[in-house]
Amino acid sequence: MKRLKAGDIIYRLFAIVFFLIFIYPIYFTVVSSFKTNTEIWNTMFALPSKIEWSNYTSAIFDVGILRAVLNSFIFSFGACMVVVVFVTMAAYVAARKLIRFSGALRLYYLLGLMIPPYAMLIPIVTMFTNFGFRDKYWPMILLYAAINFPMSFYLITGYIEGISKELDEAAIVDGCSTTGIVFRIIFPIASPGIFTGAIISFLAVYNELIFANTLLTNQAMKTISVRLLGLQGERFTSYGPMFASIVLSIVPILIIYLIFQEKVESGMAAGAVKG
Amino acid sequence: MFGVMSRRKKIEAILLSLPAFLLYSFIFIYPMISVFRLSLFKWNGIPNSPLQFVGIQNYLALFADRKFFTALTNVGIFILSGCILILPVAVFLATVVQSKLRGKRLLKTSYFMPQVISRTAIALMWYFLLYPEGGPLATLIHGLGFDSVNVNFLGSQTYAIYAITVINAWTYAGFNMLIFSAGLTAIPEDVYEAAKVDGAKGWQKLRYITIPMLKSSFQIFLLNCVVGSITTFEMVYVTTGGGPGSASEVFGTLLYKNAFTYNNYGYSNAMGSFLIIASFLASVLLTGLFARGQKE
Repeated sequence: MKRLKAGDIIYRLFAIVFFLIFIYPIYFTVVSSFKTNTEIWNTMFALPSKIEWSNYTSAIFDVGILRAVLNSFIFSFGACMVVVVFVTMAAYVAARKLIRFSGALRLYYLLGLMIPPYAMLIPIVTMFTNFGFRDKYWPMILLYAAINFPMSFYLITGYIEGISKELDEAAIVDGCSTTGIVFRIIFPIASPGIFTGAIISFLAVYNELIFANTLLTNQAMKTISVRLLGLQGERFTSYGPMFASIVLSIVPILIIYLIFQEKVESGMAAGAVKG
Repeated sequence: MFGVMSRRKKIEAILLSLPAFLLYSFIFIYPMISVFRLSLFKWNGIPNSPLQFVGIQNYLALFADRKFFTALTNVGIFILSGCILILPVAVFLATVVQSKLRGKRLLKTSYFMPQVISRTAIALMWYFLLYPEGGPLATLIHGLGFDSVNVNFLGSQTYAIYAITVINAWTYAGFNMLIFSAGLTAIPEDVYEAAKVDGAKGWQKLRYITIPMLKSSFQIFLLNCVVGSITTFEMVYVTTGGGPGSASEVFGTLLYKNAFTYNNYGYSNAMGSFLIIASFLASVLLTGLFARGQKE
């Protein structure tokens, strides 16, 4: 075996140090969620001596974190579905330039990538109040779909442009309508690209805070971010349930990330190159 | 016959792009126009209470506000911290995930993981990590013998903003790693082979091949760093809320507080307009600048 040079050893050491820096806060949260209050502060690097399940029952029954997880899932899934259907139809038309002003339309949508949605917070809150949309699932889902639409549109249009036109031309000769082409031909072929767009939207909505925090006031409607933010202000006799709540709210999204790792990473990397 | 068909196809295409167009226009663009319009009015936020036209007064109030300049400085600190803290770490992590190290998949996962976690959860985690009375970092610092160090970082007027930039770097390093790792993949292997033949050492390869060839990655990074810093909000909101006092205020927290704490909606909408224009201009100008650099 080749001997390692000093430089290589330092390089590997740094790689591992960064591994520890990134993993330790998560490790600390997970082990603390199984500890008693005194043990959390006394043994910050060790595993729990005895597993304290009561933290979890408290997170579920006192904090109601599972309800928040469910809400986050409903909003994310709903917004994802709306985005997927709307974007695929619009992206196909834009990618194949089927209508006039397709180019202008793309710039119009690109604008949404350059502007932080929360800048529009006040008109949106006013709109929701006036229409009685607060604390309702559908308006919130549509809002999230609109916010995440530009990014998915950008990703999916790019993907559809990479698909050979011959396929849709053959379908046109066979008398297939444009709608038929979108759903029977483009949808299955572009599904990797569509899925990437969908999962990026899913992550963004699952973790969204600002709009959820201002528009959802009913406890039963709150999402994980809003619920966790609320915990910051609450006085706890024990911190264990707080850590358990964090764990329960991030585990689902970490599982989704681990399953679709490549998709999440490639989607985010592509999203960074917008413009 | 053909003309009729083609008209039908055109209408079909318009109908297909209509839902997305309407959704985006009503929930994104229409509120954007409202922000500009409402920024010219004074309003206390109570529905049905009258709007009072004040012209550019909200903007004058905004630019005369000392907190606005605190926010501007803090955004500058965010941009600098991106270049000093995130950039080198992200480049290093990118080389790790592109290397032939064993276990690099696990390393990559750990580096990227913070990116998919809710910012509120991250803030809570770090609240405990930085807990002044017996939290891990305080214990570590005091354990190393620095007893006199004030470890209440998030509660300090001076250090709060720096503490936030560290949490921010922890969160976003993995995301920026992806930008550079994509850049590294694009460098053909034979360039390094040729350099090896010419006797280039590790550092020379980094200096004369890797860094120059990552130019577009650096540009993407800078664009994201500048725009991301101008529009940063959640991270500050969940960690300090802009405090203590107004020490860690950024544009987003000012917008939020003025609306929902002080009922000063005119100010908030002026801030909203400022944010829209600033982030739009930053994107367009930087993209244009880089495009010109490409041509020369």
